[in-house]
Amino acid sequence: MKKYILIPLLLAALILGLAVYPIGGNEGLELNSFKYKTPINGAQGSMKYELTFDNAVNKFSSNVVIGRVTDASEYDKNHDNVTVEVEEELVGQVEQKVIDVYAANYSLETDGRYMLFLTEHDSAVYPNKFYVLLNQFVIKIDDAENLLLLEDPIKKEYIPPFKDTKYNKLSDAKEYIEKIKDNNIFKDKKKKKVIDRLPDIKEQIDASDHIIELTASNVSYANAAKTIVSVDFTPEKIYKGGGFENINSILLPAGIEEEKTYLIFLVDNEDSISLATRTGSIIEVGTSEYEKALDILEK
Amino acid sequence: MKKRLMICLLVFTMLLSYPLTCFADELSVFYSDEDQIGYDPVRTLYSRLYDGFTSSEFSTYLSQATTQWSNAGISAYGVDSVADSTIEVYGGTRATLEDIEPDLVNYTALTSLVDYSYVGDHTYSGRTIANYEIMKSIIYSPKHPSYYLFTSSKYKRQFTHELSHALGWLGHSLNSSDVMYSSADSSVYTLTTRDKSHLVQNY
Repeated sequence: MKKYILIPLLLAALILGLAVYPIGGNEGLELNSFKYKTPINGAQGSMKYELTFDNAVNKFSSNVVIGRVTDASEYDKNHDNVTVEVEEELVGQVEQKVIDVYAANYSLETDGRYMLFLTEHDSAVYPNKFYVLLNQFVIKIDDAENLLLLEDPIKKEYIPPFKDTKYNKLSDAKEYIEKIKDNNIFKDKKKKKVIDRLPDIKEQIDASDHIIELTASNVSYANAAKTIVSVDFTPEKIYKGGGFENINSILLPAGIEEEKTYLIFLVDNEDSISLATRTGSIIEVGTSEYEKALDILEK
Repeated sequence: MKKRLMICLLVFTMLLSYPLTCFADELSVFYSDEDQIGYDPVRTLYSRLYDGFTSSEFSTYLSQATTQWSNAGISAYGVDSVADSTIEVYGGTRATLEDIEPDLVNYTALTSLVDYSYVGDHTYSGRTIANYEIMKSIIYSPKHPSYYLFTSSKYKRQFTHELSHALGWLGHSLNSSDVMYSSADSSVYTLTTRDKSHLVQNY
């Protein structure tokens, strides 16, 4: 081949080779991952309300707290289970000073001090109550009490949350929240508290709207963390309540086995049914507990 | 000598410019507020109804969503097992679906992209648009309590909007007449030319 064709050909190949190498080499890095491009763990969809500070306080959050992260562990591929020591309650009240927070991964750092916008999640399929973080409004508080809004969870880049810098101080933000918090939509909502456990089977029966004996025909994990299962069932006998004609599937804590028969205690909620208590609402047929319950139910 | 140098430069420039045009496609339109777009090359869809909707409501809403995208040239294929699917669609009451995905509490409906891969960039009017292959997305499409005043049209929009996210329509349109507009108050459920052309170009 002529030199004046061969030389540019080789030069171009060399340049292209060098240019392509870092693309392939960086594929596994976080900087090239989706989380880097979209800080909100790939969550798409329509937010319930426009994302403004007022809505974060009054519409998205049942609780706004100042707290310090004491621990964070992976809950599932996209979320962390974060332990927060609550220092101050700005909106709503938490029952304990140490709370569990369900947060998008990379959003909260251990030892960090934050203003957290939370919604209480209390359901009997979980072993305890926890709070869901509004992942779009993660506000860190620095040593000088400045507010810093998390912009990039991977690079840990923060920006001042307010254009008007006078609001970017913790004291000013607290004063503002105090002024507007009477409009919080959770303020007057009466939410049924989930009972952990009842002392005896008689109380368990009385507290339940529905008591059903069912055989699990198909059991599959319902969430990524594999803590909840979706159970397709065949009703064997209804001892209390009823109306299961159109329900053939129910969410229960993991541990239910296919082809086994259980006595389940349920309560009615606003538009669904759920376990009556966190523990003691699922009794396997054939156990001594089952015999005790049956004695009372068949009287 | 000059002639040889000219040919040399010409060949060099041609060789370099060809692959560069292959790496970065210039998109013809772009309507999203986020500089990213995706595609699901497989599009196998598994659906499951827990509670809330009647079976008929659920299948009607889902089918009008899949039909619209199918008519636009992006078909999704129903499968019976979660393992075989790249798109999972769950219907149920808010309480049930929030137990499965607590993040739903902040959304009217949610599409969670759980497995994806960055495959390169497009460009549009000087902007860099990140392109993703989506391997798994999960749609949580709840039946809302009656005080939400959700009409049939709003549910149709909800299902179409979320399916669009799963197919790669990432972010939202700023035009209120589009299904991909961010507000859930909208009752528009027929995909507009803008909704369709934005995504179809990535398939």
